[in-house]
Amino acid sequence: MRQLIIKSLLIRKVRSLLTVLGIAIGIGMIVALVSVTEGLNAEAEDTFAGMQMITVEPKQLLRPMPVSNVNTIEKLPGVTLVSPFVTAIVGTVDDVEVLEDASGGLIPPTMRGYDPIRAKESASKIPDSIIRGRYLVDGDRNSVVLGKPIADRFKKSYGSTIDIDGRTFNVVGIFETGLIVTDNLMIVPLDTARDLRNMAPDSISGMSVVVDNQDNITNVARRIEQALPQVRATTPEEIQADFEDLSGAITTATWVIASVAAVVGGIGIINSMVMNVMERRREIGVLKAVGWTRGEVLRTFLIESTILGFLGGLAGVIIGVVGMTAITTLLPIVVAKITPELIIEALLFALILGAGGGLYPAWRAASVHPIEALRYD
Amino acid sequence: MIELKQATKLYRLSERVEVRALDNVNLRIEDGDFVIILGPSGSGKSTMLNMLGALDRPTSGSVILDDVDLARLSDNGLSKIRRYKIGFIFQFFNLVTTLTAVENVMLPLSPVERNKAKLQQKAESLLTSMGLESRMDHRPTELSGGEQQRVAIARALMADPRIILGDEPTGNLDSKTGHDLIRIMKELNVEKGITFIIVSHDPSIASVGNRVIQMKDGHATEVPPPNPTDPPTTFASSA
Repeated sequence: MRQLIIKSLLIRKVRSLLTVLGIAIGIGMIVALVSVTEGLNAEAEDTFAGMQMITVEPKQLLRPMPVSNVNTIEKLPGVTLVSPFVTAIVGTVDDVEVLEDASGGLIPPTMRGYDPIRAKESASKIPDSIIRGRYLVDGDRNSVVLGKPIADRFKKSYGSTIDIDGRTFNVVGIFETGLIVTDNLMIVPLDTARDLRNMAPDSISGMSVVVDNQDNITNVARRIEQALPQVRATTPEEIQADFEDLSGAITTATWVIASVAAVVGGIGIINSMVMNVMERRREIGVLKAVGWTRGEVLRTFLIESTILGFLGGLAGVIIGVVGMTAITTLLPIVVAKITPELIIEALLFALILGAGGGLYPAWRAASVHPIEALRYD
Repeated sequence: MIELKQATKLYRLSERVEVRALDNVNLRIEDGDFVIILGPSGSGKSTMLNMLGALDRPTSGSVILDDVDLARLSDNGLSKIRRYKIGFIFQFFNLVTTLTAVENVMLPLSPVERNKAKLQQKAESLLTSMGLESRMDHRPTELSGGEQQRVAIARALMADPRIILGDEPTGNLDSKTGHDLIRIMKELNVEKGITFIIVSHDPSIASVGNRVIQMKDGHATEVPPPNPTDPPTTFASSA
């Protein structure tokens, strides 16, 4: 039985190879797309793990809130530090429109204004992630601390000057946290950001709130919302939960899209196996005449198609892993995470395609009547 | 012993046209018989062979092999009969072209025998007994017609059946090779007591059998075997 299967696959080399390729492309797509989604998820999880504070922002997005909110929240029990910030979308860097710049990465750079002293004491990772120069200090005006991807993109280093929305800044430090969202920030003093956005001196975009006990973080968040009904206080867990809903949907969509490609490969298996059965009708007639049962014939063809599926899966996993490794090496902005689970799932999927695609052809083979198959030469 | 009892096979060609390929045939073949079935094409001899070989069931009547009515067996039951009790030899050899001679011989038992080494050993010894020891790993396309048919005989012997059926086994061979093959079958018949049932339209083969069945229009008539006055083979008299 084994010899029959192996030789059938080898004799029809070109067809076997093309069938395997059809599956491999689909499985390769699954590995590539899902690994990117999982890479983003992992990145996001790291980000959330790094956030141990409540983010307070107005319920109406981008609407400023009064700085007096800082005092209100500071008085709440469980709160150890409130760090106000101002967020500004960056328009131009060195007179180039950031969003129209083709060399831009996935995430547009965002300016954040922080109070240097308060931010340093907060749980923000940035002050501890300086790789060149320093973090902001009290009295800085036109100083900026750049995330490394931004510094690389605009070819800036410690000591350079950078023009942001028409204002010239000195790059006093470069930081790298390893989290793509955070590393795409430009950190400037709070007042400077306020100036740039033309915000009133007593207004801010939001606040980061550090609590004394992480177990209490949800209670503190609810307390903040009670004290200030116009704000939303979001805990890292809540952001993470929202994100997980979203990323779950994206992962599912990715699987669906890539699976379509793989199912097309599965149809290739059906096609190739049906041709195989038609060509080998006489041979099947012989097998039946010498005593093979329906089940034995069925099994032989099912094993053959499952092998095709498995080889396709194997080739697809190799294509996916090699391809994604190459892409992430050439384009470091792309994050991909290839887990053993993903590889096993992709291989299982290919096996199911192989076995599923072989069912109908194998059933046809098993139904061949020996007398009819042997009647004509 | 294999026996047809009032076996009838109808083929429906259309609503109104029915062909009676086998018409109420009674035939009893004893162990060790060497039966030649003669008849023109369309006389029903292949249909009868299909019944005897558990390839097909009669429309009515029964086929009794070792006290079992084959007409009542399931497809799987018939498969088992073909695997263990009956060997087949065909006019066009019907070897699997992708497999070597020895793999072809192993074919009937390869899905069920766990001990592959034992299987291969047996196949090799059968091929050796057919004088094919130097052809074990040859593909059918690398063998002559006579060699292919000897591989087919080895395959038919694989499961030690008591009955071997041949559908024009010499029909595609030159006369000398054909006679060599008949001699091999006759030796197996005499030495091992294997029952042979051979369908042929070549009357010169008839002298090999100890019994001759003449088929005509779906009817089977036993006729005396011809005297070997002009024996195609030297062993015909020993039958």
